[in-house]
Amino acid sequence: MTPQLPPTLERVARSNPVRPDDDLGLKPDAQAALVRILATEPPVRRRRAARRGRRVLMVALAALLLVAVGGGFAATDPFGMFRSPNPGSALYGVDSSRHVKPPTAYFIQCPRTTGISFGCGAALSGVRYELIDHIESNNAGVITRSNLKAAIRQARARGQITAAVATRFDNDLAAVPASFLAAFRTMTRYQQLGTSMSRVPPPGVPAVIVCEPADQNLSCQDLNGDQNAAVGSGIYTAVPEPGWRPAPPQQPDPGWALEIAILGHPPTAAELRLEQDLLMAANASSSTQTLTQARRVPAPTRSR
Amino acid sequence: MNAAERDARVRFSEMYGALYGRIHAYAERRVGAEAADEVTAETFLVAWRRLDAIPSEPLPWLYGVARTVVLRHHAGRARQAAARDALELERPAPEPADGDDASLWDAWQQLSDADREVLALVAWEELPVPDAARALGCSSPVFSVRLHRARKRLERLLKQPAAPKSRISELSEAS
Repeated sequence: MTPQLPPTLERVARSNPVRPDDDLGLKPDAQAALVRILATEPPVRRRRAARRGRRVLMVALAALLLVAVGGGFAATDPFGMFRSPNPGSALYGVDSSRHVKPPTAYFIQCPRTTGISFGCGAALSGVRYELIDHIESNNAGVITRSNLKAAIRQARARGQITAAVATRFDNDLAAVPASFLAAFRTMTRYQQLGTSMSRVPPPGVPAVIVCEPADQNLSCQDLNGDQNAAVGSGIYTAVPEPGWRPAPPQQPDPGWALEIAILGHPPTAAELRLEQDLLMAANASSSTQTLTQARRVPAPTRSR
Repeated sequence: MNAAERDARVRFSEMYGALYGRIHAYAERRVGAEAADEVTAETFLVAWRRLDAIPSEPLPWLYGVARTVVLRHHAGRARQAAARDALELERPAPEPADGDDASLWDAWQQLSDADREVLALVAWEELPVPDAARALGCSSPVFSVRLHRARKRLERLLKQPAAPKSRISELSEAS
């Protein structure tokens, strides 16, 4: 019993109609339900360019993950063309100046899923989606020359990188212009989300949508290719249904073209080296999940 | 299955075994015994899919998920034109028998859903204010204000005289 309840609440507490059975979860029916739950698809693995962290290196790594996965897109129509070609994945931009109240409905339905935006809601019918996350600010402001230096010093002090890497990083950082760091901050605006879907929805049904409050429902759109997702918006993934098709083989995402579009030119040797150093340093101080991601990233010299 | 997946399954199974009874009781108080299994299973299914989002103290978070599932359960029933049944199921059972609890029951029924949830989280789920606030997704100060107001409304309702019986019920009792 919660101590020091006021008399009225004591009275409500005494009227408690159901007492919990702490062993109920170990009984056969509950254990059978557990088996059914564990038989479903494991938790969604999210690959996002910018992790929640406030650490500079993590933000830097985020941008690198995005730019290092080379692709075949032309950079002639940069910001309209950047979509992930893989069903189940999304490449999108965050508008950190726009904040919305985060949606809280875990499950929503969308009567239609085409068009620039469409309405969805918990009380509607249609394609079912589940809330997995919210759009976060990209923390781009932390990518400054001084912050990067401090982060590298910190990684070195913790023994996460070698002295040689730290020195090379300092030299490379000194060699790149301020415009490169500005472009780097722009890159952090773009994020990437990949799901481990073995089956994907039919064409016309986005696997991942982003929703923000609108009247009593939500205004949603395909997250893939959205250039201005508001901070706080809900990220929803489609709930698998029997008619889904097997996921096609993964194709490279258009990160390389995006980097050229943002930089305005192919990266110089110093810029590529700095990216490589950042990637190594960030790898050294990142989580297991991010290490795994980074291993999937081809070396810039090979991918370009 | 790799080591990380094994760890995730073990961690989830431990949490499931430890907290299933609490979530089931929460569900049973709100949707009745029949639907409690389903609500509990759906709550933990959401938890499994969002394993990375579960905080180190998972119970308030699970109550928050369960609350959403319960609301959806009620919405579903309403859509099936079974609003009357849903309202009956929402009623905690068994109904109090003596006069004192009956007056509490009457007052309880006149509270809004939001007031009942705030009071129940503290009185039935026995959550301290910070945890109850987490379950509702609000700050502790906001929850405290809501709790205070809900309690005052309940106290006012308890002080009110019982509503006069309708003519129909009087005739019914006389016959």
